[in-house]
Amino acid sequence: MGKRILTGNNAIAFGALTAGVNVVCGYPGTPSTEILETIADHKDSSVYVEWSANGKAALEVAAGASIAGARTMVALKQSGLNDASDSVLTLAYMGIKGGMVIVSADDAGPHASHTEQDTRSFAALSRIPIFDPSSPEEAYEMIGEAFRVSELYGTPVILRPTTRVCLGKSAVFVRRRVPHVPTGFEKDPKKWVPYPKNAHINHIKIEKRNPIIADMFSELKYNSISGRGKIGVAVSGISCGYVREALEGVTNVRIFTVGTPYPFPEKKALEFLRSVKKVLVIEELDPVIERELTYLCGKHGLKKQISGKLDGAMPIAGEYTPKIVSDAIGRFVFGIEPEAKQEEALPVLPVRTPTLCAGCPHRASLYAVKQALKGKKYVCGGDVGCSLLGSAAPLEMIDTCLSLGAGITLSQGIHRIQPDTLNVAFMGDSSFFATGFSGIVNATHNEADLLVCILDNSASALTGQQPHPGSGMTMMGSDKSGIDIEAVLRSLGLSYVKTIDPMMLDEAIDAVRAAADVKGVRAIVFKSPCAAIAKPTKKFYVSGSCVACKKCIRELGCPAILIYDDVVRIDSSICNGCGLCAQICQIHTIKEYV
Amino acid sequence: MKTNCLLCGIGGQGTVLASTLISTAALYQKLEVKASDTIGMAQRGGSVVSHVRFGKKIHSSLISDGEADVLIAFEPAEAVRHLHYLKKGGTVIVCTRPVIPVASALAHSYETNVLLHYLHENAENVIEVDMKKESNRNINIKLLATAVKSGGLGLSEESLRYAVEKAMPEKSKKAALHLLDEFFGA
Repeated sequence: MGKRILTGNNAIAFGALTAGVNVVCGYPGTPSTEILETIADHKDSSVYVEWSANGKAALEVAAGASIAGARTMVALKQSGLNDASDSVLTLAYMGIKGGMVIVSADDAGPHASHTEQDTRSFAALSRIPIFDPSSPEEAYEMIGEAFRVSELYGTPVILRPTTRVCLGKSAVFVRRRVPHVPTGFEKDPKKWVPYPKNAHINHIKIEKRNPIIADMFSELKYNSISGRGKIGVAVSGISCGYVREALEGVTNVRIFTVGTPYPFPEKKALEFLRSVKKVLVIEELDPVIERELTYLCGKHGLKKQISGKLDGAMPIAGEYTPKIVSDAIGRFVFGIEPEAKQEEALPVLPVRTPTLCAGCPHRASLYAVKQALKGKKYVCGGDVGCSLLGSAAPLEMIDTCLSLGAGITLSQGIHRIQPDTLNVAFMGDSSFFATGFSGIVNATHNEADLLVCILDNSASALTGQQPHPGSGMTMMGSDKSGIDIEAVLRSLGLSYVKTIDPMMLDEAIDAVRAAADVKGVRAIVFKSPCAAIAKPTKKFYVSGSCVACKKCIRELGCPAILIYDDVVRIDSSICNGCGLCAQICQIHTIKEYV
Repeated sequence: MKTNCLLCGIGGQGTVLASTLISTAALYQKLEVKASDTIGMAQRGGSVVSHVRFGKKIHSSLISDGEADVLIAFEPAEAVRHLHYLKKGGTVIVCTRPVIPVASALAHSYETNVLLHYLHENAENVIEVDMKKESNRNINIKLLATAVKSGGLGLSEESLRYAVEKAMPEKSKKAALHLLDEFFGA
């Protein structure tokens, strides 16, 4: 297919297709979402692809296909791997048959996550071999190698790109697909049923196997030593490019590149350590390589200086940049302190906080709850996803949040300690199907007292409007009607369930008031499609009678409503025609274009 | 020879597509390319940047302070915010149409003239691109065409046309090509 500009996510997808992947499952999450979408766009009929209901389901469907002999890939972000971890850890012991690659995208920064966890540490915890690509083109190559290692040793293998690899773009040469025909599932309880007795045997097996894989890794091109001299730099991931750039034209520094951090390629590392006096380790997130090198020095009685995060030579958190890396190398290798930069006085710049889109139904839902509960004592548990933007001014309706679908269970805990408070739990529709559902089961079973507000916009919106069980569409092209959230809630025996359209503001406020006065677990489904999916059918404008009271601006924070020189107007190129502003305007000066 | 191009704007304005177009044009000229975009929550109206680097040998996708040959800004305040990336003698292509958040508007703190004046004071080559209301959708094409014409990118009109043909979504391709015809003269 030739060279083309691909993101790392595209490259991972094409790499898997080239390697003959049969089944791909995932759950959307930045920065890994486009991997699965690229598969769906470019696959042939021999590939099955699905957005699973959650990360755990994705892992298990792929594992099932893999033990039936298929080559499978799971596409997740780190938090998706956490969701799947119970099964991942068991699968590591049980093993697989067809090659299985678990992609877990880490997010140094973080740009779009709640933690800076490092999947390389998860690989060590689970004893699963891991590849750590430094660029999109390397990610493409590594996928094929990961499938090979997976089948050779009968173990799932992790590929861990970081945000800059996932979203970075470079020219990648895409090769033709090599088909793989699955052999089918063969019954063998000793192998496929993880009895404790088997677990003990398997534990010994994988502990004995991993040093063999480590030795094989020492021979791979992804773990390499270049340059010469007594000063060493050990590097991994996206920082490899920063190091090469900082040391362009410098030949007296020895560079150890680590592309497979677990099981650690000790032989290669020892060869490197023995040739240098001191090492600066440049790696984002956890000090994985730094600890391995320090351990090797102790184990082999080597007196070397190992610098990195643990001795303060590198920042312990956040994303690295070419500047951070070149400054650190300058200091460590050449003893040069970076010049202090003079701060330039800039004109006043606007603060741009991310906001809910114009016409977003979440704004209407959150606003309706706020109006309905005015004067009441309440605490709102929130969810990950777009609705979390409702924690910002002017809505300020999310008080706490933990992870996907956790608002409902957090709220239950708060209510046990503070029963005089009305607890409201906001939950996205995708979250409802992923993990929120079981939180509601927990609430009804344990006789909790709270109001669940399900924000059903028919998509996993924040990651790019992916379909989910409620929207009905699948990545294989079926377009049936989705699972009805209200019907599911009714079957759970809630004390009050109502579906309303948040864009009908007065009715929505009445429904929230009615629900607030009931005891037990009650739910309101705010149903209105994501503004990015629904084409606007109307547009609104501010007519001449506006008195610039600014109520619409102060209370809604819609990006389409602008003010300049005390004149309020609606930018028709941004307005999605939801009409929420027209409903709250006290003098009815906001009108629909006819 | 390396060219560093930094694109900045507001989430939703099309900086990511613009960076793909520049990358594709550079690939057409048989150059090595690396690029990187801002993602996540910032795409919902936050301040966003894309880095694009191309040349004979490119090691990484991020541009450091004072290294951008060209700064393509989709908005005046974003141009000022990211001007520290521009190298001495570099070129700024700036869309002069401001996007003013409500908080700044209420505080009367956003002054387009002050921002543009600052750009001219602090950069040698500033090219202002005027956006008439009807062409909002093609802001990225007009900015890219201006950048190509300025010579700062070292990319040809032909390469940009190729990139539009190759990487632009089908629905907006025709309008973009028409705009290029108008801009360069068909």
